[in-house]
Amino acid sequence: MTIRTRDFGEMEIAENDIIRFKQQIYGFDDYTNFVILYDDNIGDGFAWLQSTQEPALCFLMARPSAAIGEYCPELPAEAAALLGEGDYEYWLITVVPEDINNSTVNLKSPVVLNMSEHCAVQVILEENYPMRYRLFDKQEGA
Amino acid sequence: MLILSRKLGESLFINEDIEIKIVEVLGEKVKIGISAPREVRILRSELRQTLESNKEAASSVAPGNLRDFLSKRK
Repeated sequence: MTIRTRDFGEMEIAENDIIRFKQQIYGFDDYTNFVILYDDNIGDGFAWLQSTQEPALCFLMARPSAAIGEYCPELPAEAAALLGEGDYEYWLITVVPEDINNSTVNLKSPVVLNMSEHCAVQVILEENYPMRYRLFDKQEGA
Repeated sequence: MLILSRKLGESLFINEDIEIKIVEVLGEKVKIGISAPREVRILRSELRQTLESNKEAASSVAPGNLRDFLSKRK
């Protein structure tokens, strides 16, 4: 099938590429279907989460390893039940302000993907993680 | 912020029709019961903050600039 994307024009994707959110991204309840777009320009630590329903809706996600040393949150049982069995991947939704150096990631509410089931949830963890964790050091790029 | 002390089982009212009751206290966790009219929107603060942060994320800067920035960092 063909989808329209925000940054890459029209793209051909397979049915299997679609990730269905079983617990939607908070504030975006109308959008359940996304694809993950990897992009050489932004490197392995990042990916785009592109809605297949709304071309303008596209999030930048960071791998936890790109943001923080250790990140082993405990997945709440309800989230695990929604996701089913499989290999989970954690991704962090990134807020990028005008000054990109001040970008933050949300460690408290990661996107958890089950790649084998092609589904995902945004989960709010019980643990005390910050919602806005600086992605880049202040010193860098200065 | 107004701060009140309440014991287990005690409650307080906001306006005529919203009652907030302490239902259980267990270590660091407090269970709160809320009786309110249907139209009153109740959101856990972390959910509301997540929602706000998601909205900001969806309207982040021009992807072109970001792509330049990240490709320089690789």
